[in-house]
Amino acid sequence: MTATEQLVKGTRERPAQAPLRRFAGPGAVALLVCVLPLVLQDYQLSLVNSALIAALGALALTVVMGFVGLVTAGNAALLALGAYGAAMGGAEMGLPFPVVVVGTVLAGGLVGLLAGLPALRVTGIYLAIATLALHFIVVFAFNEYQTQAVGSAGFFLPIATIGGLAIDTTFKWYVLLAIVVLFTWWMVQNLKRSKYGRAWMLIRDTPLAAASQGISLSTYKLSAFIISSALISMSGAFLAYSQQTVYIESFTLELAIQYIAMVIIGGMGSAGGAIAGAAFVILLPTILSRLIALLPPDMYAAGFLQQNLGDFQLIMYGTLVVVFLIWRPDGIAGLARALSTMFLPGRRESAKR
Amino acid sequence: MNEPLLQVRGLTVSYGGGSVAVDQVDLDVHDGEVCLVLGANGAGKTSLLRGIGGFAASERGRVRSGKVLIGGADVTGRPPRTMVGHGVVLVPEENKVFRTLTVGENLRAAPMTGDRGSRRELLDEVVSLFPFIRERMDLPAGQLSGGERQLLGIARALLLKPRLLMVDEASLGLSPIAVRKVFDSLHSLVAAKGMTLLIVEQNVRAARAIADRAHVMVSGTFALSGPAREVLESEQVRRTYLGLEV
Amino acid sequence: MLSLLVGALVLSAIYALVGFAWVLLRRTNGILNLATGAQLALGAFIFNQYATSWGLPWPVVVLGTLATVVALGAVTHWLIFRKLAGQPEFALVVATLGLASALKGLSSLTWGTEARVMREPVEGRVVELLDGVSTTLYGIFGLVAALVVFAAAHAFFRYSTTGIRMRAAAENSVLASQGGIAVDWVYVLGWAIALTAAAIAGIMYAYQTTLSFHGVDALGLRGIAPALVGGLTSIKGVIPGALIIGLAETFGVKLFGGSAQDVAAWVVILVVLLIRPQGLFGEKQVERV
Repeated sequence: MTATEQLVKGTRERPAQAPLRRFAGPGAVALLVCVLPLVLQDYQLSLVNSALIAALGALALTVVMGFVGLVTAGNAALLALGAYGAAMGGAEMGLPFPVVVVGTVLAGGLVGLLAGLPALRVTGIYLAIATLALHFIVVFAFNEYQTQAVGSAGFFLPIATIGGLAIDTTFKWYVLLAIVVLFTWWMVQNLKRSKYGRAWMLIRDTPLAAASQGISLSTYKLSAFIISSALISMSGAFLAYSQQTVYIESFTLELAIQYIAMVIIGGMGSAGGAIAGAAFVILLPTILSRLIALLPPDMYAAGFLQQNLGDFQLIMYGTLVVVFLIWRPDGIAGLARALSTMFLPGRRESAKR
Repeated sequence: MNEPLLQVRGLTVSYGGGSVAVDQVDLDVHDGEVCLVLGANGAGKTSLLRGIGGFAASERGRVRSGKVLIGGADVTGRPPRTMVGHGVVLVPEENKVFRTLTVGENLRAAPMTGDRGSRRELLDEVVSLFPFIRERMDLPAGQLSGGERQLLGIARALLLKPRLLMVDEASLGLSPIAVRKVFDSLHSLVAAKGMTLLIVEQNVRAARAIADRAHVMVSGTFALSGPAREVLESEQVRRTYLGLEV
Repeated sequence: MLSLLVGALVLSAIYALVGFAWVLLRRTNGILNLATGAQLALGAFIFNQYATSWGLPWPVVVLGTLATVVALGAVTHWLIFRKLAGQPEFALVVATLGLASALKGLSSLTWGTEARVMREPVEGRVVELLDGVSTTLYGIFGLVAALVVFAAAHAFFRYSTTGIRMRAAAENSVLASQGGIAVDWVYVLGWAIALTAAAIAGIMYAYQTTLSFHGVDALGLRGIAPALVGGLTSIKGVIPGALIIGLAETFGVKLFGGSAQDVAAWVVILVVLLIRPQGLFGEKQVERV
């Protein structure tokens, strides 16, 4: 499908939607958000919290990778930026939590501007190189800072408080994160439908057509990267506060690839898919280790699998990225759409177009 | 009459699953025949040649339906390299030579078949057809004139021993003198080697001398087909392609 | 001072080999291969498996490593990148990231993460070049290896028919296919040559330091710096690029301490992107709008 067709489709299809279907999706999401804390145990809910934080990053990454089609390897660096921003602001300077969050958003945007500006004057591929450089330089800088400030154990953060209310239980974190993720989701969806979103996708699909319409490619690409960087940095701050510790070893290039895996597995360009991808990637290790626990404990393979779970994770994320790219570039979101077309005849019409 | 060398039946070519560029075209080309396809820009002429000659996996174009047979063998939708193996060689409209390679390297890049002696012989024969090649052997092909690039593209195609040579817009962007040179070469190819040609051309006057059959293409289909003389003398073609000069 | 320069030169030789692997794949296969680091390490670990763990005779080690690496290159193309033909460049780059992750997991699973010392064909002595200026024997091996690879590559692309066809396919893969060139085999060859150069670099580096996935992987990724300085698609450009990175890293470590090794190349990359993103020898790729 060409971008122009998509443009036309985007404006034409929405009024035709039946009201039931329009509210079914958000309704189901709202129900899920309310039911989860009631049925899950504390540990399980904390996993959901991890998935929600990852979902923030994945949503942000969807803007730059899914909408504009740029590769960035700087996700771990931007997470580190937010986390170390939180450590500096929250632990070292004693600033309140909301101020720290706003600060990390601004810092993320600024770093995005600095890293993206030189790279995006050239073709998109240079952003991958610049963000790779960003990763190693940022990790190096924070490593030096951490060694000098507190040593290798890393930073400990205070409990986050908003206006006197301490976020000190898993459930409170869940409520906060659910609100933030839903808001970000809504924002990303709106961005996608806005003038910017349409321009981004035009740039992704037919750069020549975009340029001929007077869209400045580098400005639009840069704006997407800045928005995405700011949001990922913010999710780094949430990560730091919810775990209450920050240390440099957690910010590896493999972490950056994990976030890319979320976007690819979820389905490029789909915000809902990014959230599903984040949940999948975060929950996979737990599910795997549960499955392994089902094996007879004296089996050699069971012990081997359990001991090397981290390596298997790397292999699975990497393989899934490649498999989805080849087999279903539209990811879980595309799969879900295809399945709903099969089982809900009413949707067939719109999917065909 | 014998079975045609090339049989095209109901060929439909589309790009990216969307727009249809060639719509249900039938075409026969017999051994030793020169077949001309005329048409306005965007009529689907290039897509027709590409549909016969095949698309690479990296391209958006696809043969959506129909059949292409070479000497009776079904070769529909095969990639270009397989088509070369079947003797169907295309000299494309743009980028007919490797610009960063020298003229000599352009020729060496062609995977020739046969033993050493016969390869040498064919190379000498082709170079003698296009004498400029000998003088420009070490020049990057990007620095050749447009006409020379066209001839080098044809020379490279000849090294692949085509049974059917397809040339897309040989005269495009060339000066009248260069056009004459290119078509003189094509003419001598046909006369000397009995080459079977399928050419797309807008310059009707240049093509008239060599064409046996002609087809006029309009929005993806043949609007008019027949012996070249009749088609080119028809009112429609005279008005559209030859203007008042003829 | 002269000692430092010799050290920089020895390091540059390794960077030249890594940069060659980056540039070759970018140019021939059109792929920015972010799995280069992991592949460098993989090549070195395979070599180590044959040489140290199994203690095979040296000719078998060399030929076995070569055969394995070439086979890996073929598998990489047929299993992954052939299937991605026609997809945007974006998908290719992301696929290399996925590949990097999977290879790291495989390597760590098979060989662990601790550093190893490889069996040496000859004792790694210190060689005195001039009075007070010395380097190791394996440093000289690295230099020789880089010279041999670049000379062989030059001759191959210039004079051999296969090399000429590779250049043709690199310039225009559709025209190459229309000209009867087996483009898929060109891509397989591209992977095979790049992975071989990468393995040589990884092995030489491991002999000069120790063999660890982390160390060799990081080196392989930093190897994008000489490639970028040279213009990403120019094999000639890699040589000055490697010299610049070798000097930057050597003097960075001298001035700022050992940890500068990790970032010197990346700082050079940012500087190059700022002032001359197309590199010293690259064609201008700025988007025309």
